[in-house]
Amino acid sequence: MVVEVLKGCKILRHDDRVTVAEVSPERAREIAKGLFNAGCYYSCGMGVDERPVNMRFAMYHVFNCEAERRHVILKLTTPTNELTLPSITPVIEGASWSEREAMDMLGIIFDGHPEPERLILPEDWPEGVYPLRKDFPYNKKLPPAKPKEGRKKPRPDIIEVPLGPYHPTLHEPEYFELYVKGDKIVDAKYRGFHIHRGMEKLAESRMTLNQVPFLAERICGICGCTHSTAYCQAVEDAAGIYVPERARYIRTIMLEIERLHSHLLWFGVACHLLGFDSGFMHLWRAREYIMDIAELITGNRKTYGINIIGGVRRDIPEKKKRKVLELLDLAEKDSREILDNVVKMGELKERMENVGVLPKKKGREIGVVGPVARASGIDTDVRRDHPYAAYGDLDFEVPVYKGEDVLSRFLVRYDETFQSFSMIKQALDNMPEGELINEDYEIPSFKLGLGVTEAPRGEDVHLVITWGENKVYRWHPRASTYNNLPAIPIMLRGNDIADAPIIIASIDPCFSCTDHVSIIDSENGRVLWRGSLEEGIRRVGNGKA
Amino acid sequence: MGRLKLISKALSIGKVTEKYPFAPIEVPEDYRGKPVIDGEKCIGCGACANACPPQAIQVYDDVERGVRVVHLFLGRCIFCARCQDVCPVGAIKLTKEFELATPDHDDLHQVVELKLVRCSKCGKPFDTYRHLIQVAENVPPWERELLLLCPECRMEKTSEWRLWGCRK
Repeated sequence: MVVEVLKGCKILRHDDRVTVAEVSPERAREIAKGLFNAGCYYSCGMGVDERPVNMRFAMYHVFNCEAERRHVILKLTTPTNELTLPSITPVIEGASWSEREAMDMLGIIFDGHPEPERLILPEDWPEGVYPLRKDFPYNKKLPPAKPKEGRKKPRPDIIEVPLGPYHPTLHEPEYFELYVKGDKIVDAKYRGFHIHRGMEKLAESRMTLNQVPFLAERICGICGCTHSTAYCQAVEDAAGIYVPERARYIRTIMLEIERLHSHLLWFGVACHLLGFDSGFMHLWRAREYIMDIAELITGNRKTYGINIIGGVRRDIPEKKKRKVLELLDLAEKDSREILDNVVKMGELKERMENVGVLPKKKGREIGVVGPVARASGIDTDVRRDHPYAAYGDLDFEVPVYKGEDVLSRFLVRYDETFQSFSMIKQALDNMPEGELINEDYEIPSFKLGLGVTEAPRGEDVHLVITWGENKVYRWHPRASTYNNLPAIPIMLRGNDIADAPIIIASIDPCFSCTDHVSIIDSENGRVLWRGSLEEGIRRVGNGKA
Repeated sequence: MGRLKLISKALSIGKVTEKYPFAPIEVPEDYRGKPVIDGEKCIGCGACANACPPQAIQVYDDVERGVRVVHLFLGRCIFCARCQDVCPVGAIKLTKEFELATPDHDDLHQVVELKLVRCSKCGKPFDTYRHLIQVAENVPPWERELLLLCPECRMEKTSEWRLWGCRK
C-alpha cells in the first residue's frame, strides 16, 4: 500500500488520481525503495528552481502505481542556500537520467549518484552555468568553452562502431557507440540530446498558457497530439478545469488516429529495415487513409492543433463523421490484409525472434513504458490504468506478450492497431452532443498539475507548475522514448551487428534521426561507409565498400 | 505465400503516386493553409498578435506616420489558425493555399496599415478609428466622449469625474 509507505511524510495532495508528498531528504531513498517494492515504477523527475518563492530548489520524483491507479509524486527540497539532495538512483536505476538532467540544468548536486556526468548539456557548455535557473535569461548566448580532454583508451581486440547522427530533424537523435567483437555486439553506449531545443525555457519565459499546446505539439514529429493533450491535462489538473464530454471524445479520437498513423509508419520502417520494401510501400499506402482522416477533421495531416486548455477547437459534424468511417473501413481492410501477410512470412519472423531481448525484471528497473514494456510481459497501459479523455467509457484490450524480443514488440503493435480501429469507431458512435470548450476558468498561482497520456511509444508525462499572469512557472514534458532508450544497450548486447538497426527501431524512437552513421575499422581508422545506416551495414556486410 | 499475395494486391491497385505538381491536388474544406488578412475588415485590435504562438503576427504603432501596422510574416507561421479563432471581426482567415515556396522574401510578408486617432486632449496617436467605432457600440452614450482620449488622459478624466462626483 502506497499510503503506508508514505507514513510520516507531509501529504500535500491526496485525491483519486495523484498523491503528492513532501519527503525529508534523509528518508528519500527508503521511501523510493518502498514505493518500488510496492509495485510502482519510476516515471519521471523534474527539478525546479523555487528560489523566487521559497529560496530553495526542489526535485519532484513521479512514480506510476498501476495497481492503485494513481501517481505518487515525491517532493524533495534542498535546505535553504544549499544545493545538495540525496540521489535515489542507487535504489532505483530509472531515476538516473532525471537526476543527471536536473544536475545539468539547475545545478542541484545529487549525493551518491553513480554516474554524475553531463547528460543534456554539450561538452563545450561552460561550467557553472545552469540554463533552467530563473536568473538565466532565455535569450542569453554564451561563447563555447573548451571541452574537457581525456577520452577513453581503445581496447585492442574490440572494434568500435559509432552509430549516430547529428541530424537535427526530430526530437531525439541518438548516438550509439557499439563495441563489436567479430560480428557480435559486446557493449553499447549512448550519448544523446544533440538537439535539445530548450522548449521548457521558451515556454516559461516567452509564451502564454494557451500558446504552449502548439509548442508541445512540436516536441515530436510523429506523436505531437498526445503531448499537447498531456500538457492541457496538466493545466486542467492544476486549475481544476472541467472539460466537456464531447471534447474528451474528440481528443480520444484524435489520439487513436495518431496511434494508427504512428504504428503503421513503424510497421513500414520495420519492414524496410528487414529488407522487405514492398511491405513498407503497402503499409504506407494504407497509412495514407489515416492521414486523410486527420486532414479532414483538423485541417492538417500531422500537426492537428486541436487541443486547447479546457477543450478542443474543432468539431466532428455528422457529414465528416460519415466520411471518416468510410475511410477508416478502407484503411482497416487494407492494413489487416497486408499485416496478416507480413506476420506469416517466415523470413521476417526469423529476423525478429529472440533478437533484442529485454528481460522483464530489467525493464521494470529502468521503467520502460508502452509497447516495449508490454512485449516484455509488463502489463501497463495508461489508457486503462489511469483513464483520461474518454478512455474510461471505451471497451478495449491491452495486448501483453511474454517473448521479450523484437517479434513481441511487433505483435503488440499489431494487436494495438486493430484495437485502435475499434476504439475510434466506438468513440464516433457514442460521442455525446454538447459544448466543445469550457473557457470559464481561473488559473491559480504556483500549483502543480500532472498530465499523463499513452503515446504510441508509451507513457508521456507532463508536469506543469502554473503561475499567475497567464504563464507557466515550470513545464516539464517527458517523452516516452526517454524511458525506453536506456534499455537499448541491454537489448543490443550479444546480438549481431546486422540486427542493430531493427533492435534500435523496435522501441520506435524517432527514427529518421538515427539514419546517418559511419562505420570505422578501429585498426586503421579507415571510414568504410558513410551514409544511411541500413545501406552501410548491407554494403560492409557484403564486402562491397 | 504472403509475398505472392502482396504482388497480386499491388497489381490490382496499380499506381498510387499522385501527378502533383503537374496536376492540382485537392485539400479538404477546412484546410489550414496560408493566412490572409483582409485589410478592409481589420480593426487593428491586436488580438491575433496576442494569441499567435510563434509571434508571426506583430502589431505596433508607427507614431511618426500615425498608423498602426499589422505585420504578418509567413516565414514564422505554424498554420495553427489561432488568429482566425480570436479575430473579433473575421478579418484573418486561413485559406486552402499551401504552395508558399518563393524566391522573393517579400512574398512572405503581409502588411496592413490603419490610421490612428489622435487624442483630443494631448494629441498623441493612440488607437485606430475602426477599433474605436467597434468599441463605441458597447459603450453607453454618456461615456463616449472618453473614447477620444488616450489611456493616460482618460485616466485623468475619470479620476476628475470621481473627484467631483459628476461629469463636468
